[in-house]
Amino acid sequence: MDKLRQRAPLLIALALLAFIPQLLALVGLPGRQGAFWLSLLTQMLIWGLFALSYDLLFGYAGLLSLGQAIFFGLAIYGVTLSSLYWGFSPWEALGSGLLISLVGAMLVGIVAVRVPGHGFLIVTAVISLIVYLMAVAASGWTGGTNGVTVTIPSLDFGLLRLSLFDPRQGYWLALGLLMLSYAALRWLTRTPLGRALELIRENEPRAEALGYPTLRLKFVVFVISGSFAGVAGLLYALINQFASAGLLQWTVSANALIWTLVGGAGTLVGPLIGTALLKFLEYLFGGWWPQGYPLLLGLVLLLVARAAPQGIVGMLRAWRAQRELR
Amino acid sequence: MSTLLEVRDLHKSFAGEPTLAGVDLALKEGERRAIIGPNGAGKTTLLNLIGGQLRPQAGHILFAGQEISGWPPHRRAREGIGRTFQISSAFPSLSLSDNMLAAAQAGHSWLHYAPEARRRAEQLLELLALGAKAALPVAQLSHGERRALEIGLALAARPRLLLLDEPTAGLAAGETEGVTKLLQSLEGVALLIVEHDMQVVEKLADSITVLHHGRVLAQGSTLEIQANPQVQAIYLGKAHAET
Ligand SMILES: Nc1ncnc2c1ncn2[C@@H]1O[C@H](COP(=O)(O)OP(=O)(O)OP(=O)(O)O)[C@@H](O)[C@H]1O
Ligand SMILES: [Mg+2]
Repeated sequence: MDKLRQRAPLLIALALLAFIPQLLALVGLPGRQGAFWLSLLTQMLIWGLFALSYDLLFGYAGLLSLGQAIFFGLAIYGVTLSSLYWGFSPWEALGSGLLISLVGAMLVGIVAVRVPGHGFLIVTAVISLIVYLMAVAASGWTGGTNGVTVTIPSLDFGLLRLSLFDPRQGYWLALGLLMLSYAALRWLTRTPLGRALELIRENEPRAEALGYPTLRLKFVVFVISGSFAGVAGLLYALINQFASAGLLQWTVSANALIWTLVGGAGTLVGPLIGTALLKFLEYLFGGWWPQGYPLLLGLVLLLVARAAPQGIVGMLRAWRAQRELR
Repeated sequence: MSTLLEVRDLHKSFAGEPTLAGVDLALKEGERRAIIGPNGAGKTTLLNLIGGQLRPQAGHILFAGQEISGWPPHRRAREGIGRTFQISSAFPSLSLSDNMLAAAQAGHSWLHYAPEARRRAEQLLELLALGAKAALPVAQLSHGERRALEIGLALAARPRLLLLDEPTAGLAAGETEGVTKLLQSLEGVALLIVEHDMQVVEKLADSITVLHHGRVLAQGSTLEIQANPQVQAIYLGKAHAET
């Protein structure tokens, strides 16, 4: 019962999110405008999932990576290119997308997690750059920075067939996948394995002296988090039906870092909030003052660093803890 | 009693500068040995080599008859070597009880907390008299409490050998006594203690190894070491001169 009450806000939020398509229609935003808002929300969900994967790596294990976009982009390319050139069915394409990001994460992970300190950041950024340049070099195939489009009309779940051209169904797919991933990661972070990741973030030599195989753990978390970035990539490919070399760049990973910092690292919820907030601001500014967004981003980061180093969620938690004390 | 730890002709240098130049040391099961020596003698380096934080250039480290000098630290910990660090360094943003539980959980399941790990963690908090602060993040503990926690973490996995790097450094007199009593009460674990405080050494150690310029200068009972003129000259004399 208590547990239920604790989870009530989450459940209500979930229910609200699930019915947003209907709500949009109710408040008189059907048709094109409603579809626009819905697709903005869907993009938030996709990028939110990407940020979630980043939080496991950075927020929990403390690994500051600029290579997370590699696995996001590889999955996107895996889906689009395999269905474009080899005529893979949607499920086959999704399978190959996930597989290639998993293998990619293992290969990059083996090299990167051995590098201590800031070297890790540099190595991941450099590998990201190399993969990006490779995709650009193969632009006849990958479309380079202009990208390639693909057509995957629907996804067949047996009983249910999702039309990917319908914004509402795309939205529900994104919401469902995000919620499943969130639940999985939430569970993971509560296991002793999840705690071990925090030990690495807090004090790696100490964790190792206690018997934790920190190198192996860093590899494992790198692969798990890379795979979740891959799942986000699958979603991106299905919804946007588009791939581009730009999605592999280190700046894409840097965005996830920023969203995570702003929302609150190591909280899982925080990165979702950070992503939604900054994506919304990006959209607002994009309309009337495109140069304004980077400026605003700088201000927001400064504000977070000065006033709320634990991000939005961290600030809310501290505030609640203080209220409980009184 | 059989030999638990045997260090043979251990060499370690940093950038060509020898820090340990052929150290030999043997410790029996349950034995308590203090390592003393002036600053920079190589005491912490020796602990780092035994704990696996550093690798030697030459020499052997045998633990319970096995050559461990190539093993990573976590494997040595699993095999029964626990250690504390000269600078207390638990997991600062986690609570005291989470620190202890994580230490006790090492080597158990990755997916479920083991009931015996929970019991062990509670028992240790009790032993350290820190139960009342269990929910506080470690960053909010006093220096003395953190030193105690440092020992608790190292004890969580029930080591056969405990390496202690200046466990009483920076403690008030009362706190030093608490830590000394705690260490005295331990059973079935061999201690290798780096310690500057000779009163603590007298209470805790069966014998003393004196390290100087990366070599073992002398080894013997507390009385023998205190009577050793060479030791008096370079270590005790200096220590007295300082105070
Ligand atoms: N990781 C390292 N890199 C380079 N030099 C080191 C390293 N660790 C120790 N040294 C050097 O080795 C020498 C011995 O250091 P060590 O820390 O073992 O001394 P110690 O006996 O523990 O001294 P103290 O009583 O001050 O703790 C010092 O000169 C130190 O500068
Ligand atoms: Mg030292």
